[in-house]
Amino acid sequence: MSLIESTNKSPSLLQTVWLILQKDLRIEWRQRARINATAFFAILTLLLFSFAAGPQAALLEKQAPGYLWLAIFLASVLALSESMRLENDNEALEGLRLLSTTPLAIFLAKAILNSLMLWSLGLLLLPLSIAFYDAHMELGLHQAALVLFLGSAAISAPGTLYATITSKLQAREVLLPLLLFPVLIPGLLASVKAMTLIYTGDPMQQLPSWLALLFGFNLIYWIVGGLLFGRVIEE
Amino acid sequence: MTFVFNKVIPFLALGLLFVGHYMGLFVAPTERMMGDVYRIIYTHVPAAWICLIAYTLSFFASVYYLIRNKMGADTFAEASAEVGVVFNAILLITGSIWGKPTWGVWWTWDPRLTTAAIMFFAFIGYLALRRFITEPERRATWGSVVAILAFIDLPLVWYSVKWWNSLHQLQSSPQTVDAAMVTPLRISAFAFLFLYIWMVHVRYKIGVKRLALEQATPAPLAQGATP
Amino acid sequence: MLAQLDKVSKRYGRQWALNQLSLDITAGETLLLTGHNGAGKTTLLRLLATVMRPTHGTIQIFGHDSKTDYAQIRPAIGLLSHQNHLYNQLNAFENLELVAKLSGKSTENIPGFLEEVGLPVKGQKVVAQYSAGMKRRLAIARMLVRQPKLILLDEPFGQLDPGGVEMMEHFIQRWQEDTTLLIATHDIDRGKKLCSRHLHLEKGQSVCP
Repeated sequence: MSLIESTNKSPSLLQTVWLILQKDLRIEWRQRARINATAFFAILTLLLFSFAAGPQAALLEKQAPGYLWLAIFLASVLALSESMRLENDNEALEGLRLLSTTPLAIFLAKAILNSLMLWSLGLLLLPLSIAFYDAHMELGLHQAALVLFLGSAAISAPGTLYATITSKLQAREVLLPLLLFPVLIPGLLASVKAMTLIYTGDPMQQLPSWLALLFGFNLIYWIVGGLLFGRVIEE
Repeated sequence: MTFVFNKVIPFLALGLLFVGHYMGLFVAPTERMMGDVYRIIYTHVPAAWICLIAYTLSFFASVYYLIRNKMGADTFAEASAEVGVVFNAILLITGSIWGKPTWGVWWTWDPRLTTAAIMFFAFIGYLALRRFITEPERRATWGSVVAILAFIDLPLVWYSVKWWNSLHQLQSSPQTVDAAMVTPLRISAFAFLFLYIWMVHVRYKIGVKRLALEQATPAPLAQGATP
Repeated sequence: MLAQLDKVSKRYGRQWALNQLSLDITAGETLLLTGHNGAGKTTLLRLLATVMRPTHGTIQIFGHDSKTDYAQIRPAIGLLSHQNHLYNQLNAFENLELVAKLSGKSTENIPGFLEEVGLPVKGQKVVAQYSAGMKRRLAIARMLVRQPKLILLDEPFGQLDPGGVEMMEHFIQRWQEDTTLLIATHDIDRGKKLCSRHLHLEKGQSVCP
């Protein structure tokens, strides 16, 4: 005999994801000063690369896609740790666990939020990188947006998992990039290569294979992340 | 069993290491293209094999820990990863030394070498993370998750670096193999394998003792008084 | 039997916070939990809330094992502690609305609950701007939304002004009618007045009070 009567109707997985995502978007909007600071940090990084590479326009133009992605990468560490920090204030994540929220829903909501944030950042940096480095795009904007989205999602799936782990530790600022960056290298390579093709043109039809690699990377890490997230937060 | 681990395996490891490297340095013929430089393969190649074995076993032990929650599996995963990192360092250093006379550079973005470098940092991260978690169960669970994420990256890194590189240069590696070259390589490989078993065994025992110390009860668990 | 602890021990590093504690909790009773700092009160409540697992021993709650079947147990458990589980950047209504929707409860009663705990219904202030006492009141309202069957209160009278303490007592008395409560407090006199049974913890073991 169960002593718990279940009269209330629990929300479905998708509803739960939406509820948490909605909550996070609202919180991020209220903390938009922080988002702005992250964006300015990323823009500053773009500028710094041009100082490091010297004023040769030809070199900068060639490296533009790589710099764009590095700026997103460096900023992603800040965005990822921030998205988990707000769950640790007042032990809010423990509150979610006590509501018997499925870990998968929490993972998906957090990873989708991070993907959207990084995607927006990428869309903001794209025109700026073109302006700073005097680059131009051979292929269309929708292809660029697709690469930016897949790349952002590739950072977010393992990033959410690692940020959850490191957010509880003292050395989180250094541990998150140390854990995250090596794992992200295939995603970074594919994103940079795909972006380069978008900037310089793709006469040999290589773009699909890089997109396929990015997609495969996403597929693997979103599945594994969803499977392991429960173990991470229950420990 | 203790005898095997404490006497036989160290003896085999050191003995074969000596024989393999002696044969590699003095008995094996000089390579036609590269001359004597190639002889570094007797350290480099076995290190690569054992490094891969070490990470693979660490991965399976981590998966096993997450399924069964046996602390021993996690202790083994850590031991194997730590020894793997040592072989990985040997692999990177010898690869770099070999690269200078053969390719003219200390470092090249060859898929194998690059993958080895990335795996080195991924597992350094795994070991670093563990230092910051004091609670054994939490350390085991989070460590296992990190080891799994790092290991499944290996094929992705390899393929992506290979594609990334394919347009620039096609790296040819010496495939001309003489039987007299292969024998010392096999012997060295077994030497490294025994070295691995020996080191992991010692490291595992240290891990078990550390865990016992961490979990030691300060005062004996007396029977609780009933209210 | 609502909950049953069988030789439960919990270790933090090299310290035993609970030491082979066995305890039966009957449905409907109110249990007072006392003890010095570090005696294991908070640990016991957190183990019962299933947010952590015992090192040794088993805990059965509502007939489910807390280690494996926590998903069944948790909806019926309410934990009120220093960590109030509130989102700092959401206001009172939004916090409660999220809890209600995630646990499949109706949101209609939320304004009523806010009124009961003495918080403004239309307040736009986010939790970060609340005083400690107001956060505590909101945490009580969160409990009212969830309607748990087993309520675990860790220092319920802390951080509250006299009016707040009175209100807390009022809610405890109301909850006593149809739920089981565990109250950990240093305020022994007030606790004894409210509770039907007293458990005193010392070094992770229960002793006669």
